[in-house]
Amino acid sequence: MTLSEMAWGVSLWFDLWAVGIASASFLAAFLINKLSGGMQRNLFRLAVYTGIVFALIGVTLLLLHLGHWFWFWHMFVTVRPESVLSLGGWILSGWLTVAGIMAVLWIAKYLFKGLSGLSDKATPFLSWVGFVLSILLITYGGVLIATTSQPLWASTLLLPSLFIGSAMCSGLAWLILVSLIANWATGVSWLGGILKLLFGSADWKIDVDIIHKIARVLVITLAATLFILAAFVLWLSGSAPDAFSVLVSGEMALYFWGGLVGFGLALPFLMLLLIWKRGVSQTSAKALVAASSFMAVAGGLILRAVILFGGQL
Amino acid sequence: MAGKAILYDPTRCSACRGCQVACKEWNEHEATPTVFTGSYENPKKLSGNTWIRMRFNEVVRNGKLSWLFTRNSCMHCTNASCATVCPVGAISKTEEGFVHIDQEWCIGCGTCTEACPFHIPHLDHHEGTVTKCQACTSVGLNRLAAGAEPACVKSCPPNALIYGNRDDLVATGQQRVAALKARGSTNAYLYGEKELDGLHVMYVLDDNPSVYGLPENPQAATTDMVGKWLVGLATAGVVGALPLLWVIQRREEMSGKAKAEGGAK
Repeated sequence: MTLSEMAWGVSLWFDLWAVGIASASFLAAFLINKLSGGMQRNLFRLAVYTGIVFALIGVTLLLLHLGHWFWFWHMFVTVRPESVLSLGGWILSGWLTVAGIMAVLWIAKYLFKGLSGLSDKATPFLSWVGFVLSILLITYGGVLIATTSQPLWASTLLLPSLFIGSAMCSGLAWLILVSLIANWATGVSWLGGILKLLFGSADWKIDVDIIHKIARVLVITLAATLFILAAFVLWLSGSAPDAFSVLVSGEMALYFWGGLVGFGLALPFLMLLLIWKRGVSQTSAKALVAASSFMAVAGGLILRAVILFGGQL
Repeated sequence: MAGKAILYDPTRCSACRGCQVACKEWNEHEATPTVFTGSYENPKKLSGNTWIRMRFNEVVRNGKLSWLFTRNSCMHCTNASCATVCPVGAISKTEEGFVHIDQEWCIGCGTCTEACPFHIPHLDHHEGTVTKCQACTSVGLNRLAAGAEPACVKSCPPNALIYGNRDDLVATGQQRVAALKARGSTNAYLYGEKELDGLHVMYVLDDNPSVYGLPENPQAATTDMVGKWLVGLATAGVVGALPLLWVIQRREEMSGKAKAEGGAK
């Protein structure tokens, strides 16, 4: 079967990746901010702002995926809990609404001083709602794929776990990348106006220590995802031998071993471990962290391609 | 079980493919351009405008080559995964028990195509909706409402396809299975009597379903859905939160402790 013949093709592939990053970075940044006693508000805001962009890309791709994109509203005149796509549509809409209101309140707080009280009262509550929706959103992608009759997707219970592990890797890696970009941007004078509008000030940086901590969390999450992947493949070898062969020795083998296991998971894991265990110069560490984060973000995309397209061969 | 059904008996089928042509004609579908691929099986796949095709399975049994014919079309499951997973509720059951896709409501998301255990529904790229055999109940082309039988059944010369009350057809199918067993086909089986709570298209098979390319024990796509949600949510908690709690909180505690010790000194 060719890519153009697949019912679930390129747009759904990117949608699952974008929505995974949006929910994972929200979830991680929310927890980091809470665990730091509210000291990482700007990191959380970065996650929310960029998460909205990713989620909007996801929604757009989801619409493009439909045969009748202008009939998308049919999804929102019924609630069908037994349909994962229906639930996912509602969860994604709820997440976007909550994140959108939070972003508007933060910006309005700096534009209109009178809204400061409302923003300070509403956003903590909304962030908790967003946290719960993020957990549901990060879970829905894997469950959607797993609730089918394709052996690669449906014959184990571990596909949602694999998607969540991968999304968390990509989300954490994205937080590192966006923090590095933000730290660069705060030194650029012509970006000052935008940063002031979004964050209330252009004079701030994400603490390097917190970036290193996120990198350490990423190491653990990459290891956990490799473990889940191994368990998934092992289970698959017994429950769906043909699908297992497609993945590890068939048409998807190169993408699976080279792209997913090597480039997307093992290599960034080893690179980060090198910094953690051996200790390298600060400049090298920054480059290694950035490179491995980029690879982990790409790894999420590769995993979804291998699983989504491999399941339809 | 009440309702209507179609009984297909491959042992009577001559694979003339009259049913394929009748389906195309009645549903006003264009012919599919094809090429010879070394088999009379043609076209090779179902599609948005090919709702039924005959499969020509070449199987070696007891050292002899057998040519087994199978109807490849919607099985009209009672427990229909396509209907369950449809996000807009476009798939419903007719009063006869057949599975029907509302072409005015389907959004073409493809969820049903991935959920079907028989891989039957296909996206009609021209219309943008998912289509499949509607058992001749399409709007404006409803043969059943007019008291007629489905076009494929009507066109079948050797009566390999029969349409009628499902209970009656189960009894007929069981009689034929018993006759096949008496003639030495010990694996003969009425496929669809119990599968997925009963199919509205049943097959009289003279061997195991897998020999005919049919799933032995088809499962609904939503069978383990609750388990998959729970495993996913548990993973989100463990993989999503635990490493953060361990690294961030532990480090914050350590730095707090160091600061406190520094202050004490």
